[in-house]
Amino acid sequence: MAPHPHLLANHLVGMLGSALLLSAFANLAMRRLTSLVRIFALQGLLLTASTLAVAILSSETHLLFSALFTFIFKVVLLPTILFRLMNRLHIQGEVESLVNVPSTMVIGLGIVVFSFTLAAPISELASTVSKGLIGVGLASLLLSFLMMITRRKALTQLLGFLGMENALFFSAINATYGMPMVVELGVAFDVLVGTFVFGIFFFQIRETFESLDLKHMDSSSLE
Amino acid sequence: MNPLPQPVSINLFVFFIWIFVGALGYPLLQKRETLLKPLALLLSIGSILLAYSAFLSLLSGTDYRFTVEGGLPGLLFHLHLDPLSSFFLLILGGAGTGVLLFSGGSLHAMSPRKKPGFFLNLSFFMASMEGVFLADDAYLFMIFWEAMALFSTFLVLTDRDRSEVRDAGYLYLLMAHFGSLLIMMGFFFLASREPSGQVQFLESLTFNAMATSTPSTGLSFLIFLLVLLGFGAKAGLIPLHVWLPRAHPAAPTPASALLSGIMLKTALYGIIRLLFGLLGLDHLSATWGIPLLLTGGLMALFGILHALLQSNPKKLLAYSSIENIGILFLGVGLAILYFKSGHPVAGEIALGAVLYHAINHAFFKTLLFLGAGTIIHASRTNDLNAMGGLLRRMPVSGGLVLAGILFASGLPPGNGFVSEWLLLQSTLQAWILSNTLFRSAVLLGAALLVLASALSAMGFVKFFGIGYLGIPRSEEAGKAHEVSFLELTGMGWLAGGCLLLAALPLTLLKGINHVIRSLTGHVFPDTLLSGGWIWIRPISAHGASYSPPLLLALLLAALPLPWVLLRLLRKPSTRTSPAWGCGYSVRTPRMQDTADAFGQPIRHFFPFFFAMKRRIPAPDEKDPLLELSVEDPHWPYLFRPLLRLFVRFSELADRVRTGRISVYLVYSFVTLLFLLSVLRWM
Repeated sequence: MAPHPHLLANHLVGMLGSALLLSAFANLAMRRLTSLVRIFALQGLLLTASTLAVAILSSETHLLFSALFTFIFKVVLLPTILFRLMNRLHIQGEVESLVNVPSTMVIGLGIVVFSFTLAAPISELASTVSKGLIGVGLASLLLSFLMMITRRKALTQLLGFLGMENALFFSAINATYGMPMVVELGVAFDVLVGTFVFGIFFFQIRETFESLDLKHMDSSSLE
Repeated sequence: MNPLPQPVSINLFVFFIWIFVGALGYPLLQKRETLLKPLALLLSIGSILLAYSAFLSLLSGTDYRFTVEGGLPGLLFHLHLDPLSSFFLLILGGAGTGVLLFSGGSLHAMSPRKKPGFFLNLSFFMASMEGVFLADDAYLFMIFWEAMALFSTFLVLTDRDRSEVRDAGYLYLLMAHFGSLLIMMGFFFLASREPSGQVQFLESLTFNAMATSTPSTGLSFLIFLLVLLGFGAKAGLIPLHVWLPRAHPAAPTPASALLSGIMLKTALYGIIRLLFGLLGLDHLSATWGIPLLLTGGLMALFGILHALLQSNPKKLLAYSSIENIGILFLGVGLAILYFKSGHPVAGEIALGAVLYHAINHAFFKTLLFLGAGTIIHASRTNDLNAMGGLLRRMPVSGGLVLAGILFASGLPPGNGFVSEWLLLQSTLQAWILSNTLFRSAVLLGAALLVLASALSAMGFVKFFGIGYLGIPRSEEAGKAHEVSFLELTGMGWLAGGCLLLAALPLTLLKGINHVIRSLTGHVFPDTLLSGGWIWIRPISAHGASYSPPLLLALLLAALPLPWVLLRLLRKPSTRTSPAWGCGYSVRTPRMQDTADAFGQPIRHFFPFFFAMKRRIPAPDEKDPLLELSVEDPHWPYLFRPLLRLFVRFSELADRVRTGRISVYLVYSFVTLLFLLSVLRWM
């Protein structure tokens, strides 16, 4: 592999990718809801940085706008909404998980290995600057999915969902220099609206079940 | 655009009359119930118009195709009026008129809440049946076919507060969907072949394109099977008939008459249209006629045997419809066999007999269903065992039903005799077949046909004898009264139709000649039509012949004879009752034959056809009670095991459904991982 002219920026993108993967693991390990939201904001920051880096590397100007939007939506708007939601719902405390943290971590490791093996041939084919990072994106996506499975509260489901979206965005930036602007904007707004809808649902769920624990919504609890 | 030919525009006009009157009738009837009579009259005027124009276009052999804006992009609505459509439109209009007239009189007894809905469904049902006959592409055909299934289900479900009606409706809808699925597959295979030239797939859905395509033998057989089973589900082909004896009696009387008398014919239309018209005789094989022929024969026997055991008059008639459909299937099989083994004359006679029997059955079965409805309504029970003595209390409608029974029993000079006789003449041509297998199959079919029609006469004797004759078996039956004028008019219309069909068959046979020519390219032999309107000589001038008008006149002339003889021979003496009575001084209803007893010998001679459970009490029992239940064997031996299998499978599948969100997420997660690895390593 011939050395790229912007070696530093190249390394930077790689480092940001590994930071994203790390944050996905942190998501699995964290026990407090506030820390989860903070990690989500941090992921947004990482995404902004890596988008900027890719923009500089590839000199695609529209990625600069992408970075701006990512910053506004994922670092400022969504975390604010989430914090306010938590305040209004009076939930800050411990996150209960169905599977204990060490086992989740081990499963997560397996998933990372799986993702990298899976992504290997795609990385070979990719012609973009940061081809090694598709595996990272896939792994973060599956890890966020794993978080949705192992956590019990409705809010953690939302955070897992948002995490998946982040990972998808990351893969898209690195594999193909981002999607067309219209699509990116659309997705960003979808996520925003989705968060609002989730928020309304949380209020409804709490009013119906007096709790946000998913086990009350199982069909077994009706019997 | 050129002006449409007159019959076509009348057809479209009637279609819109039915749609508009139905749609407007709904709100009107909710406001004023008394409007029912004029609205029903409007519907029946449309029906008369339809019958009239169909008759004219049938006799002139009109063959006209046209398109209407709409449909799918790239596929306009194709419609056509060819002799086959005209023939079935004649059935629809002719028999439909009687039923619609009848419903104008009979619906006043229905609860006001159900009336508007029933009226709407009735008129839309008629319109969709007309659409089925007029459609000229698979898409439009399926639209009308499904509309017909839907509205007829609504008609069946009119009394949906009764659970057996709901069950019947569900079963019917299930079978209708099963059938539609097979029909659609049949159309797909007919259309999906690479058509000659640059024809798009959608354009290959028109009947015209399907008729010119050339499928391979294997594919043709597949289409043959799909068509047969698909339309068979609608027609009550054994073993797909189980819905029929449940759904037809569950509907209100005019609806059950339409279902049994006319809607079953749409299935026959579909079979003839697809097999003879679209698949074409060239792609059929003589061997395929044999299973059709034998199934039809067995179906006829099965249907009539079960009819004989029913004590619900409508159920009896529904099973008798299965018998008649069996006869039609037998005829279609016979026609295929003859045509494909190179004997077109016998094939034409068989196909003509099928068509003639279809219209006969439409007329007499609707008449009998209406009759059954009147006695059920009058005696407030649907059990023949509680009826009796109704002829004295309902002389006019009883007389009309008696006429219907004579027509239906296949006795000369009835119209049923004309078609069954023609079919028999065709089977008697078996000697011209060189293949022994074919020959014996045809003769076996003939034997089954004769047995079934003899038994059907017995069934109708039961229907009339137990229901109308003797003395009333219940208080309600004793209080029965004659039905209203409109109801009588409807029944009279149908009886008149039967009489015309019985007396002047040659007029209609000329029309049928056009149908057969347009389907197969053959025409009836000259001898058949050369007899003027008096003689039918189907095969040759020296063979068997039959003259309905002469026979009818002879019988009518001989009618006074017994009366005259009685008058001459009887000694004018007064008769006094003997002192000791000898059993005749007391006459109770219990001394009469019952409906169940009437069927007993049949049960005894043909146990193979029934699933019976019988418990005969021991001689020393305190409270001796004979228990007997007779069932259609397809339930215990075919459908219930199937149902159990299905339920077991569903329970297994249900274990996957835990109702926990995280488990569902795991499912999608694992599926995702699996699909990704398939993508990577396969």
